[in-house]
Amino acid sequence: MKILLVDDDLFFQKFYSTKLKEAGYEVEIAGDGDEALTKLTQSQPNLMLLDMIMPKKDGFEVLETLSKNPQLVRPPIIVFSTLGDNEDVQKALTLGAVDYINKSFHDVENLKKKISLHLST
Amino acid sequence: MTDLSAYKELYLQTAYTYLHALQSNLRRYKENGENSTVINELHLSAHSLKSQSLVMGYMSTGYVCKELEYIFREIKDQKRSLTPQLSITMIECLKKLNDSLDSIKNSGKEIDLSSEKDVLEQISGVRTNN
Repeated sequence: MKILLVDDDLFFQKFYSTKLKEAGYEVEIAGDGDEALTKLTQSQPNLMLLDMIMPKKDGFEVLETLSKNPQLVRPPIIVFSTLGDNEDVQKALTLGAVDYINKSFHDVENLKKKISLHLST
Repeated sequence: MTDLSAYKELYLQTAYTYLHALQSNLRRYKENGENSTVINELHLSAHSLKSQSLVMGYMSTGYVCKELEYIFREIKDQKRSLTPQLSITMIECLKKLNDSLDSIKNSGKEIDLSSEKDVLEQISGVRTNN
């Protein structure tokens, strides 16, 4: 199963890609929203983990682009949130994200469970 | 529970980068006035440093960054201005953040930044639970 990890932060790219690979997933990384949309079409991942605050095109713009273009490939999208971002999470869910993971209080096991859940639905 | 000690060096490498970006962009903003590109970068750097610090368990450092992120977001959304006094306060907070990163590098432990958090909370009006 292939996961597209969308995050501009090198720390989180390394952290989550390592953990996901250890869990047996193939991981592709995109550093911003534009790259994410390109890779969605090119490599057709089974699921996308999406950070919301990024340079250039952010996570909200990615979700909006996908919602306005139903012909684009759209896997289940889990968004990353951090402390104090409740409104952002709600907005992301309204725009079509299926779930969220709190990045602040890391819980890799919870992330794996959510990924497994949404890959099976 | 994830063993984060393996990520400490990477955290410090990227954290110092974000901190230096905050310091230089704050100087640019102060010297050159309103600039949407600079404020976007300030917001992004504060957000990223917050997220990384909280994941690594450096909560005091993370909470200060959360307050900075909130204030920069307000400036970005034109709900607040970066006044000279606010600039000075933020520069002092960034110095303390640098001290915290140095402490993490040298001892593995952050310093207590609750005073700085309190000052920023009074400005932002947003309380962060400890």
